[in-house]
Amino acid sequence: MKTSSAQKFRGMVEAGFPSAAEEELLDTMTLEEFLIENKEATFMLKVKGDSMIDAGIMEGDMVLVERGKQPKSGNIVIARIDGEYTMKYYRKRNGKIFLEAANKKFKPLFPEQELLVEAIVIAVIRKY
Amino acid sequence: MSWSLYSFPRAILHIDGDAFFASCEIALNPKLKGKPVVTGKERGIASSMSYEAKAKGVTRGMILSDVRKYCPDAVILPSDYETYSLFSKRMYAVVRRYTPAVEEYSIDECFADLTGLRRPLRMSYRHMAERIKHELDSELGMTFSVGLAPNKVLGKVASKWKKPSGLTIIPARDIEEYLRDLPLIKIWGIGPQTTQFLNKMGVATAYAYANKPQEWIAAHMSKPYKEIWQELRGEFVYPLNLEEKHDYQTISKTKTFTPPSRDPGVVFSQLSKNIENACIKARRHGLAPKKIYFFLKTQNFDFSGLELELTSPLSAPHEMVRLVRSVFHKVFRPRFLYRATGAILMDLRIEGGEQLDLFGKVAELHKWKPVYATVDMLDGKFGKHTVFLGSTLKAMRDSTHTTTHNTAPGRTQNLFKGENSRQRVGIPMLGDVK
Repeated sequence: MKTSSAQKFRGMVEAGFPSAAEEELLDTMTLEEFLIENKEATFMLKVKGDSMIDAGIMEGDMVLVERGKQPKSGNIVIARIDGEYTMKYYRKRNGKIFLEAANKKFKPLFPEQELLVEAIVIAVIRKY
Repeated sequence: MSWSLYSFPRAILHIDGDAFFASCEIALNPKLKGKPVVTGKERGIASSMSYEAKAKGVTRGMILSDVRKYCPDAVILPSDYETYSLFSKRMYAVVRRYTPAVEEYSIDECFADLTGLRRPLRMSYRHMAERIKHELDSELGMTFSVGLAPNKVLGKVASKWKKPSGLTIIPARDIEEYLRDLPLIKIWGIGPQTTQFLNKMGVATAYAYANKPQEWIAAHMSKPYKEIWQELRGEFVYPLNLEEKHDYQTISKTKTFTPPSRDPGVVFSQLSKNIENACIKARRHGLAPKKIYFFLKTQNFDFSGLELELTSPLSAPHEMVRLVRSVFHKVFRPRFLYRATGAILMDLRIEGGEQLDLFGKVAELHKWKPVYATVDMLDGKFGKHTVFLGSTLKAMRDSTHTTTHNTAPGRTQNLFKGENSRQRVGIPMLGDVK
């Protein structure tokens, strides 16, 4: 076969050390891929205030959130209350849903009518 | 009678963002929900409006002073094309989860070919349309109107059938039901002229048109209208254009200057500076516009402007300034006191892809490339406006040229550490959260 003779000659090429990087890099992801699962549904917000300080979320932080996901108890969510966004823990206890801050100064928020969860927090980014 | 025995010889989906720009703004800011929202503040005309504003009589292209008259509580916002483009890209990406055959028709519309995907995706065409709509609505935080039909023309009829947030499916068998009472003007590609002509010929509805015999069409209509006739009858004529598009991007530069002026020389010079700045940005991104829009704003916030179509894409400011100068008198009114000017580059193309023209105009402009490359290099080294056009001199010399903060999108003013006014993280920003 013609190809096999051609293949023989490939061994002559001097390539120096084989680059280990190429194959290994197949198993890495970019920071963006690491942080974001569903690109189209991901949005960001800027944190104001210290209501989530005990969860390690500080004023000025960038939070990445995903829309269109069902919240589970214990998730940090972006909810809409009276037309304002608020970021709190989403809690479900004895069938009751409420929002809880990560700061003792804040009382839990029990929705009077309905609680609209807009998105779920998937990452917090802080650049120094 | 029925033109087809099958439901979907081809399955073409048309997706249309409802009040797209206004909806993007609402998706970012929940306080705007339920309010009449109008975008276009930086141009002085409504570029998009929420359904609440539409209900009060606000229409596309309406002057903002009229918008305030019809709808005093309107929330008028500057257009944030950066964000709209991000949403647009996401719309395409969601649809591409189902099929690679997506035509990026415009910033707020796309077509998708779903033909043949029932078996691999294990779902009906209706189910695919529903799933795509659900994912778009829930993940982007706004609503889309979706139409499924055997071709593009009917896909458009379907998506417009119920708006906002509709899902309409027109199988080939049922086309007549949808066309029966549909006025011709509602059909994509049929304009007022053709409608009038057809009305004179006794054809008032899309159904009547589709029912005309082939001989009649051949005798009275040109090729594009024959194609529309074929599509109305359920044939697939218009293919999808699957290239990635860039022409929905715009570059705009608007500045307010003090003191306000009645001097055409001063006002033109300010405009010239905006044009230069817009061109600098266009060159930085390797883009050239096919259309430019410029406007003047008076002390009383009245806008007047003009859109110019260029024969070939252009990013050389001296040529653009020359064109604008030739029509400037149509917009400038001597008795008024002006306070701001703006230039918007639209229909942007990748620079260098332009066709050569018969008279060598394009070739002549190519000669300027090294000149502007040098200008950009000098500006980079010694600061912006190291080299500028003579027509901009007055603006550089005497007045303070300040950015109009009230017409700059909010995103450019709420930055994260590491971002700057030129470049920001490419994820839509929902604002602040407590």
